[in-house]
Amino acid sequence: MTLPIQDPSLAAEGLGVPPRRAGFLRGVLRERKAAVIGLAIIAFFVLLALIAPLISPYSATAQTCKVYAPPSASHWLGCDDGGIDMLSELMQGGRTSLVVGFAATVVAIVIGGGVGIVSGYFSGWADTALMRVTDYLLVIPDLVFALVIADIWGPSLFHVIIVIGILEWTSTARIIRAQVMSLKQRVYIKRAQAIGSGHPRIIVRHILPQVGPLLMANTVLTVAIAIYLETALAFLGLEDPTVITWGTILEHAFERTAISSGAWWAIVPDGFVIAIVIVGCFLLGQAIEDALNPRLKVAHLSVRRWRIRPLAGRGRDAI
Amino acid sequence: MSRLRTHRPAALLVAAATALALAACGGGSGSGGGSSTVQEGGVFRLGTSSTIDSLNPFIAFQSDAYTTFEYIYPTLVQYTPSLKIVANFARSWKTSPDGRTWTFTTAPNAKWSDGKPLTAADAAWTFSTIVKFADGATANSAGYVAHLKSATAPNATTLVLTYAQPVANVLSQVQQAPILPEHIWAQYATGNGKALKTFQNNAPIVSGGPFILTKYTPKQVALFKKNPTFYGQKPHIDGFGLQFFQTTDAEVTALKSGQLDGVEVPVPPTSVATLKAAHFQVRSSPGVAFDDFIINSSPDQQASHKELLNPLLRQAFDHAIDRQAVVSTSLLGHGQPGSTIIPPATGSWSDPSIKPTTFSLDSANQLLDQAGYKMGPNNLRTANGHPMSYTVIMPSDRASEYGNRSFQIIQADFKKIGVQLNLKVLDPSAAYDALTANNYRNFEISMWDWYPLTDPDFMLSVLTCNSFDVWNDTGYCSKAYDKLYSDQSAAMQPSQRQQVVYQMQQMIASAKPYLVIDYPDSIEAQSSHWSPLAEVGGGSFNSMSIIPMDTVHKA
Repeated sequence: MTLPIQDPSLAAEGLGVPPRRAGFLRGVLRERKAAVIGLAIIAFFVLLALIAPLISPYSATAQTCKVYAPPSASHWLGCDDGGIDMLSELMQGGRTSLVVGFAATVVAIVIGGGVGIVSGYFSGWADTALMRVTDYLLVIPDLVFALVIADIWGPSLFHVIIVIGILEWTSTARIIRAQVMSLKQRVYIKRAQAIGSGHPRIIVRHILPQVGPLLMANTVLTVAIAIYLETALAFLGLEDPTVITWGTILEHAFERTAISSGAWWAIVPDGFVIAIVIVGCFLLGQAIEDALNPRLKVAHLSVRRWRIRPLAGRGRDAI
Repeated sequence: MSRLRTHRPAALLVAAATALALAACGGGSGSGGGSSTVQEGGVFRLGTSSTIDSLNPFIAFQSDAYTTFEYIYPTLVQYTPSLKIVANFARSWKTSPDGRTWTFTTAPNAKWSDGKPLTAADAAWTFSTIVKFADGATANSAGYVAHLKSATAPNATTLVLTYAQPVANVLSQVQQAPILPEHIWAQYATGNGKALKTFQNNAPIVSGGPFILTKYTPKQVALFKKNPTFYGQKPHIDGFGLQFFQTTDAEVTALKSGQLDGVEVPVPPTSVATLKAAHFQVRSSPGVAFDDFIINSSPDQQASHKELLNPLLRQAFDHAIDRQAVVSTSLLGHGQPGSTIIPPATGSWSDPSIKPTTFSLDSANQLLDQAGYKMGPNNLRTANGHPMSYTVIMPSDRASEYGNRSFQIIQADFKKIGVQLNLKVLDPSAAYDALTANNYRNFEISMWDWYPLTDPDFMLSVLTCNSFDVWNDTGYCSKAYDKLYSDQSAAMQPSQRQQVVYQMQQMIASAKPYLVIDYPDSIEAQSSHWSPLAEVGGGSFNSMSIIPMDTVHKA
């Protein structure tokens, strides 16, 4: 139930009211190659994780070859320190790592989005209280805090999800709050209030759809951070070591001296897929963010890239 | 939890340069090795993944600390590579007919590194002090002086130890005791002796052994220089350095790149092939350690897992451990399937009639059926109304080696007999606290290891009622076993003692507080630029002997 958009150029620049989410995403994908690449990478790994049980050549838990057997025709990526096929293990590990990444992100986005909207929309003491909590969590170094919590709670997949979730919501909350504070002043919100809409209805029908794309950009970027943190925690031994994730694969290889034993195949492919997925998330998230915040594109001090913006409009309207 | 266990903190490498700047050694090493072909001098650089936690013998916990004491302080006797006890500071000894009085004749004209005389009086002072504060400040050393009544030095070269009862293992007890310089330490042994534990004993340390500890930087490096005043055969090397690593990967890489001359046990089995290919001397010999499953044996344990006391269940669990798979995958064949708690490598004390339990999931299933634990939903058996799902506590230092792999193999097989095992990794001291919590009532199963001494006394003592909260990690306590334990410590005839020791092992093998999984080989690696280090009791750098560093020389 968004308002009709009067000026498409304004919408595309994020200055007006953006159109529905799907349309917005389509626009981003059409305009930015990086977004397409990012989405393709994510889609590829998600698909691979989904069909892993069907296509994985061997069991990811049973021994099928010799310890640290090198890559061969039957085992494309060699074997790990338990004589388990690396390729099958990577597929299985991807399933868990992506689930952890996405689950932790859902936790982070729900908390971050909720806090951001409530504190931006209601202002006053709710804003003060929630933002102080946010500030507090923002200044704590992520990894150190995660280490402490994971160590106290004990190593388990669920704990890792929660730890990452409660660490990563703060920046989302900040961004959403700022956006909501600005949205709140818009005429159509005032109008909705004037005709007697309650707070829940305004938030759900008018605010939420507008912050949707922003939330999406944050979600994608948070997935990258969550996968990275999961890997780090697992590598440091703070995850259930019997669960196969990209992090525990690295940990096992490291603990059993894959490097000095020359078994690069136990470490390199795993590190590679982690890096690729994170790059994919980054490309997509960044593209959405750029589309939402054109200033990042034109600012002369922007660290990403800059160019002179056309004086007005796009396509036919451009001068 | 103890110096007898391995300690392998998983963290980042603290890099340390091993540029050993050793002052030129005074004092000739003339009467050295006897053979004129031996090349003197040089500094041996040894890598270790253990640590020195304290240089005070009354505080220290970790194995490298005790090895340091072995090399810088005299001990009365030491082991040879064939595990015979031979002279060190004591040149000879005799026992009175009743077995209660032991008289040691010590090396004459010996000196501490500060020039003060090193006599039997220092030894007498050390033993008397340990006895005096055995319930307090010197409790960690009390095992060296069990049943000792008094220690006196009638003259500079005679030490008389008087025991309250005949003691079978006097020599292996005193072998462990570093003799401290009385003129340095006496000032702390006053009042209740608490001051003994406050003394830092920082390097350089007044030493009486073959080496002097000249420099020690925690977690980085310890430097040892040849002691020119040493009473015995002087080492060929000018000194040796100990570099501390926190990951074995970095340690092995340092060896391969020539930054180290040797690596202390245990070299990970996964590194053996590459080190051999790079022409290092790699020795894999039967080790004295064992990996075990601990099943809670406390009769008062909580009702929620009381079925663990059922002998049928224990037998079934024993049958479900695929020892061959563990040896071939976790140890890459560098080890033996486990059977008794006195490892065969310790020599004649290990009962050869106890064989590794055969791996048979059928037998395990039958035994569990027989015990009445019916298969329930999710392929999990039910015991006393609850599913058979147990938490296995593993200390993090085990988990970070091959412990994880072993657990995964066992976990998969237990699933096939309808038993779920869940791993819980804890810091070693937290893990021990978890076992002893609530007087051993809480824990279910644990996976750990032991590094027993060569003499079986210590390992057997672990299961006595007296070692509750000290060494006991099973909750096992049996009057009959305790009786046998005191019998063996008083049995003066080795054959008679052996019989009792066998009987105790059989008791444990049938009660099964421990399911011994494997005996990992002790694997050492060193550069071929040096003569092979002598190996004593499954390692060449430990607190059993000074022979390895005393005899090593450039090849």
